[in-house]
Amino acid sequence: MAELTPGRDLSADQVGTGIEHLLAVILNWGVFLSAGVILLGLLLLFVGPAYGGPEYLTSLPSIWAGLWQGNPNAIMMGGMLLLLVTPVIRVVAAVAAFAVRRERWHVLISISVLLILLASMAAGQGH
Amino acid sequence: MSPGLAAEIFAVSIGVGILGALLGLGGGILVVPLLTLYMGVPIGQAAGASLVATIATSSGAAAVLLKNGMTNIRLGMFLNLATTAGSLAGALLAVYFSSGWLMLIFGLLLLYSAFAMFRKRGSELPEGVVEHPLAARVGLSGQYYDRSLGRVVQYKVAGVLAGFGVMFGAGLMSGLLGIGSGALKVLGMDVCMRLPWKVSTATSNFMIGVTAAAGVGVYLAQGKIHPPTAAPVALGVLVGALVGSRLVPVFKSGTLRTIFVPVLMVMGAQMIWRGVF
Repeated sequence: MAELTPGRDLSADQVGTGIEHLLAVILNWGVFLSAGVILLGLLLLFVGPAYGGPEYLTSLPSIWAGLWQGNPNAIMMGGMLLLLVTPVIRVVAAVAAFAVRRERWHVLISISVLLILLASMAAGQGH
Repeated sequence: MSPGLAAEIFAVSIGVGILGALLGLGGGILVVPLLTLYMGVPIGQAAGASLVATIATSSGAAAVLLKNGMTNIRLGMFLNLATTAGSLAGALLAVYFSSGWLMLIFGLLLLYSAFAMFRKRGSELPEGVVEHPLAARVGLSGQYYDRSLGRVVQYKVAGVLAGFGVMFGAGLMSGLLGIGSGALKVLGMDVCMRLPWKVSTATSNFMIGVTAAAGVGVYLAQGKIHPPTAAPVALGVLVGALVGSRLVPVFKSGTLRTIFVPVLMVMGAQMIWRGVF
């Protein structure tokens, strides 16, 4: 967080530098990339050739395979998965940013969040 | 799925994204009834849209809220410890609980919160906040630039333990009921930790994505995400969240609180309805 003097008038840009700015840039890239892929899949679904593949894709290998076959559902799922992992990327970026600044408490907290998050995601796959 | 219906879902989702980003909610709780009751999408195709909408709101709005300094990342990460642990516990315990009773209790809690929020509707910034020793030790207090007030707002964090407890409860609800519980997060930060309203909603917005991401594995494996339904929801909510997050700095906190009240009432009524029927 930028150093601030109380009472001084500051623009929004000066407050949000450092970790906030880095996270914002990473999130923006993730969001725009995923939106582009989802849009591509949706357009293919409506204007592309009819595709007879499965509507629901429930595993990473099936999505991966579908991508190479040009299955619009797989492309949409691929884009949505990119979107769904942006929160994980957010936590990883926070760990790195806190580590660079040697904020030990916050590195420890963020790593713990990451571990619980990954455990939950893995537990879900086993259902 | 016809192009017309997809366009309609996209348009409605923009509204959900705006509201979610403005208020720090996932919007999942709004998008499912809109899809099923209003547009006639089968529930099996709509369920996964809730998770997609929550993460889209969180990630779509996060960039702008972060750049304005309203999101308290250190506090958000600290509280995410409680929400992710609660969510994991909830998912493991879900088989032992009757979801009907839980929804009823959660719905009543939301209605009571709406009443409490209505009484606080005019309040702009918290006053006389005494910093909790733990907040001082870990370094959780902060500052943000409030454009509607035209100045930098410095704030302290109170009630760290109570807030942590509420967040564990919110995570537990997410795990047990499969909902995002953004409303509980906002209320916990506002009532227990006495944060400025915009810091509460922006930090909640940052946190709901992480809590929701814990459920991605389950949703994928159970085939709950129907691509032709969820894709226009994702795109619409992203557009809405980009717009909504840009509106947060413009509005006064008192105005945003007032918008929160009817949304809480609708959510509470819906939860009670689902719990009873």
